[in-house]
Amino acid sequence: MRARLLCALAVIPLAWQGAWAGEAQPTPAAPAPAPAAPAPAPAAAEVSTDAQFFAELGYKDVALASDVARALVIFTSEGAESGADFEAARAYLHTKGVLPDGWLDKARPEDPIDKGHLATLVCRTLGIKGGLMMRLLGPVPRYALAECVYLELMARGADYCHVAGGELVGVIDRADRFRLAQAGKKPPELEGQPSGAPEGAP
Amino acid sequence: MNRAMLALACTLVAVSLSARVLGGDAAAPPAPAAGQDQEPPGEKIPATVKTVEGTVETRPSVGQPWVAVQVGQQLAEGADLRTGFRARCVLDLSDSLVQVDPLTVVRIGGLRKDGGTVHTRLIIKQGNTQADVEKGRIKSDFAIVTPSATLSVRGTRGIRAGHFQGLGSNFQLLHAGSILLTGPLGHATPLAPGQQTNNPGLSAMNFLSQQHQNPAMDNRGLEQMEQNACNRHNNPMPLPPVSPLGSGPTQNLGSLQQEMPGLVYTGPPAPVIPDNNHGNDHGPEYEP
Repeated sequence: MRARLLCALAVIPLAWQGAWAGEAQPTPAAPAPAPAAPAPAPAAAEVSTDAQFFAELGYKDVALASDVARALVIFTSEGAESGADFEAARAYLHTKGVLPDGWLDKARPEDPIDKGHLATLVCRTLGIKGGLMMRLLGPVPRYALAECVYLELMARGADYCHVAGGELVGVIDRADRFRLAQAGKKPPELEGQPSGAPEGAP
Repeated sequence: MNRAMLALACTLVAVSLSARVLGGDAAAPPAPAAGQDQEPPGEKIPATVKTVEGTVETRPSVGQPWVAVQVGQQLAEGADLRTGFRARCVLDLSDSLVQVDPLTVVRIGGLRKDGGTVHTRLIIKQGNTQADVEKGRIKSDFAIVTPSATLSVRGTRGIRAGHFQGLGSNFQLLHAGSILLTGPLGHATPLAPGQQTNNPGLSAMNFLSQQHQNPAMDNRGLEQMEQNACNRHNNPMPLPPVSPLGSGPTQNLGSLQQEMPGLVYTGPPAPVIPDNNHGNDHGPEYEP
């Protein structure tokens, strides 16, 4: 009984200091936290620019359904639509024939997408018909991913793997180049001379 | 039984005290890294924005707000640029032209003039760039840094470099000239006109970062969100440009110098990477 009491007495200061959970220990000289300032009134939600959206998406561990919907709306509309609202983005993709795809039209905004379903969406957006099996079965995740890997739109991997945010940005970039190439266009190349170039340089 | 309980209680008290001591150590401010406050030589020169197409934003440094870029605006060393969908921007860096392609985040890591030499370091965090480096009266020390390789250039036109997380890096030389790719471990690969290379898997780097600590990471150019992303993916952050002729395992540098006699490295010294594998660059030898 005495030993149990000792154990309990030893555990109480540990739990109090937060050492079990590895919490940071407060330094004795640390000043007391200032009282929290009153929270500002919620401003109207600002829609981030497409540059901000893609830059921040690049650092996400996993791309979510809301990210995919917005990226596809920007891609399909060639930058004309923002796609910030998830439901509006899905409605827009319905009008463009990208949805229903069997996944994005039922997904919640916070659901992570996998490579197979992203490949399905890419194939539907770009109108990729695929090989024999894909023509027979439609753009199912497995064959859509194989087709996207063949066309160098996506990196190889299992169709059930989650997609990192940076990978989604890269897929959108490659898909846009693919679309331009299909239309017989080329992305603009760098032209001109730097200010320090010698005169008469080619 | 009671003695065992007493021993357990003593152990718990000792753990509590040691956690307190360790916590105090962790709360101490970190010592500044050696050489972190050393200013590189040379005078800072600005980059001038020549053309803008679509949504292009910049910020002077980490923590500053992003603002839209205007034609003619001058960007200093340390500025970040990001572009939106089908947005482009061309920068005049005195001795070179750089086009920042769509969906790109790039930092002007260094832009200085030291005597007759312009030192340029572009850090690609994500996306693609094209560059032309003029070979003229200005001597160029131009390098593009991506998380997986560093590209060094002298007098070359039609350089393409890109990097996306999960898709790897891609380097291409379209026109005449020569570029040299240097991996994080010092491997150097020359690229001839018309050639391109990519590393879609980054498997060697992933392997090494899983087996060892990430080598020589430089977090000065990255904010916390970016550092977290890099750490999650076991992906090394952009390294400072290493010397193409610097220390690194297993590379016949003499032949490279013969192939590219104009290549002279004038940047900072290469980080010293310990070679514990006796020149075996396929990872550590298995030791049961």
